Amino acid sequence: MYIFDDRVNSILKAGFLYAHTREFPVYEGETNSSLFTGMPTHVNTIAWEDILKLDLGFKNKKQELGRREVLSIIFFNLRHKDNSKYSLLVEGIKELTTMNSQTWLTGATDVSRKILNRKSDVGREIHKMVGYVRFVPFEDNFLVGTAPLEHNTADLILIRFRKRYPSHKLGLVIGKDICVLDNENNIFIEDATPYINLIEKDTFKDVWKEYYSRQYIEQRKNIKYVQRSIPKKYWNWLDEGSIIAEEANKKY
Amino acid sequence: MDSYQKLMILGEAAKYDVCASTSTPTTKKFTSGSIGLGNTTPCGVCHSFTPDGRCISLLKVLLTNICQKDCGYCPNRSARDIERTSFSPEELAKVFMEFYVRNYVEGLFLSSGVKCNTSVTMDDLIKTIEILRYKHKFNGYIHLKILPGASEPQIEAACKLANRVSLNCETPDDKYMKSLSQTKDFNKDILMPISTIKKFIHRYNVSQSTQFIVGAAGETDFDIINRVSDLYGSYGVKRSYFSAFSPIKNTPLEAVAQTPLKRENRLYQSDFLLRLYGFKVEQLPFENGLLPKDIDPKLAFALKNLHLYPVEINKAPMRELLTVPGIGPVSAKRILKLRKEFNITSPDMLKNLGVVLKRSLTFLAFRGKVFGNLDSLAKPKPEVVQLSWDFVEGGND
Repeated sequence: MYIFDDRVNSILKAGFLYAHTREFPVYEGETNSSLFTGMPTHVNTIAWEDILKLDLGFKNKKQELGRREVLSIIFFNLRHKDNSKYSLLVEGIKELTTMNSQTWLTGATDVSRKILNRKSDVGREIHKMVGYVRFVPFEDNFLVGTAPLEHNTADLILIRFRKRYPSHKLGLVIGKDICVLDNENNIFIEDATPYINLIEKDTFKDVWKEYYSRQYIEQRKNIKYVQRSIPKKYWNWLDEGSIIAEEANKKY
Repeated sequence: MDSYQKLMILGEAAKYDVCASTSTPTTKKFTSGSIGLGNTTPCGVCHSFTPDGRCISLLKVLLTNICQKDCGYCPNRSARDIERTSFSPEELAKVFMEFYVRNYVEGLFLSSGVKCNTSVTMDDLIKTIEILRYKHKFNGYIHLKILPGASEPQIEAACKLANRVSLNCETPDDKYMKSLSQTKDFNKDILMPISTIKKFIHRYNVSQSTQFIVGAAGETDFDIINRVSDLYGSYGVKRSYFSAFSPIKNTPLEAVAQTPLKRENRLYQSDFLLRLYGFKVEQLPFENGLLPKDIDPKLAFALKNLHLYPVEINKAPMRELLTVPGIGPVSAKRILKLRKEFNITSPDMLKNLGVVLKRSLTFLAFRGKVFGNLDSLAKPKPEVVQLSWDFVEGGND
C-alpha cells in the first residue's frame, strides 16, 4: 500500500503507481481513519526512474503531464475546499496515463470534468475577488480589504493584485487574520484586529453606494441576472449588497 | 457643489452609455518599472452589477452635462431643464483615482456633453486623461468617447492615451440620424471620425467600439446589423453595443414607444454570430427587416435551413459545427479535440463538453444516427415580463 502527500510530485507519483498496480494510494492525512493496518510505503521514497520503468509509456506520459496546463489544474485543485481533492487528483492522473491529455482536458470523462470544474471554482473565486474586494488605504501605501473566501486563495488573490498595485503593500482580512503581501512580495499572516476597525469605519462606501444607485436603470431590473454574477452569499459582504437585496424584495 | 455631488449628477447622466468590456490584450505603460498604478487584463474584471444586471467595471462619468446638441433621445440635450454641472480635468482625475485605488472600478469611461464647442470639450477630455497618465501615473484601462466632429489631431491624441475609443453611431445612416438630431451629420460627424480612428488603431494599440440606440428612429434590425457588419469590415470597429430606446420626459421623443429589451437581446445575439461564429449578414433570419422575436437568430437560421442538417459530428468542420444551435466556439473546439482520439458515437460523450444537448441534438448526426425532437425547439418560449418604461426618468425631474 502506498501513501502520498499534498505535493504535486507526490500526487503525480501516486497516480502513476495507481495506474500500474490498480491499488488506490492513501492520502497521508487520511491514514489514521483508513482500515489499512500494514506498513505503508510513502511514494516520496520511490524514485521517479523506478516508477517510469514500470510501464513503457510512462516516460512520455510524465513529460506530457509536466506541461503547464496540467500542473496548473493540479495546483488549483489543491486549493479547493473539498477534502476529497487528493483522491480525485490521483484518479485523474491515472486516467491521464491511459488517454491523450488534450482529450482529457476537454472534460470528456466524469473525473476530468469534476477536476476541471474544481479548477474553475477556485479560479472563479480568485477572479470574483479581484473585482469585489474593496481596499481601504492604511498608513504608508498599505491597502487593506476583506474577503469571504471558500477556498484557500488569499495569497493567490493578493498576487493577482500585484500588477495593479506594483508599489503597494496589500492585506486581505480573512476572519481574525490578515494575509499580507509586502513590497518585497513576501506573504505572511498576522493579527487583523487593527485593520477590521479601520475597514468598518471607512466612509467611502457611502459615496460608492450613492454612485451605484445612480447607475441603476430601474426599468431594466433583472435580479436573476445579477444573482448569477453576485450570488446571494456575497450580498451581506458587499457594500451594494443591501441595495440589491432591497430591489430583490420589492414587489411590482 | 463638491466633487462627489458632481459625480452623482454626471455619473447618472452617463448611465445609458454601454461599456461593459475592460479586456485588452496588452497593458499600455506610461511609466517605467514599478512606478505607477494600474494595469489592464486580457479577460477584464467586473467590480459590481447593478440590479438591472449590467456590469460596473468602469467609473462611468461625463466631464460635463452641459450640451449644445439637440439629440431627441438624450437626457442631456440642450433644451432640457436639468441640473447642469462640470468637472475640471484635475478634479475628475482625482475623484477617479480614489475609486481606482480602492478597487471599486477597473478603469474610467469618460464621455461628455459638448460644452462650448466640440474642440474645447474634446481638449478637456484629453487633458483629463493626460493628467491621469502622466501626473497620477495611471496605467489602467481608459475608454474615451470621441465627440462627433472631433479633429484628426484630437483623435490621434485620444488614441495615444486611451485603451479604447468609441464614437456612438446611434443610427444606421444619415436618414435616421436626421430624425433624431438636426445638429449631427452622420457622414461628416460620425463616419469620418470613425474612419480616422481606424488609422491609429495599430499605431497606438487602441481598440474602437460604437453604440446604437435601437428603435428611436424607426430603423430595422437589418439596417443596424448591416451597418455593424460594415463597421467591422471597413472601419476597424471591434465591438458594437445596442441600447433599447427608452423615452425620456421633456424630450421630443418622449411619446415614442419604448423598445422591447428582447429586440436589443436579439441584436446582441446576431452580433455574436457575426463576430465569433463566422455568420454573414445575409445568413441571418430577417423577416421584413426584423429578427425573430420568439426564437434566437441561430436557431431560426437552423430551422430555416433544415436541408443543411444534420451535420455529422465526427466529420463536420468547425464552421459547420458553429451553425448548430447549442454549440459555441469553446464546445466546438472541444469536439474537434475529442474526435481526434475517439469516434463520437452517442450524445452522452458530449455531455461534459459544454454542448447544450437539448438544442443541438436535432441538428447532429452520430455516425448517421440522429437524436432529438424538432417540434420542441420551434416552440416559442413564454415571453419575459418587462416592466414599463413609463417611470419618472432618473432623479432629474
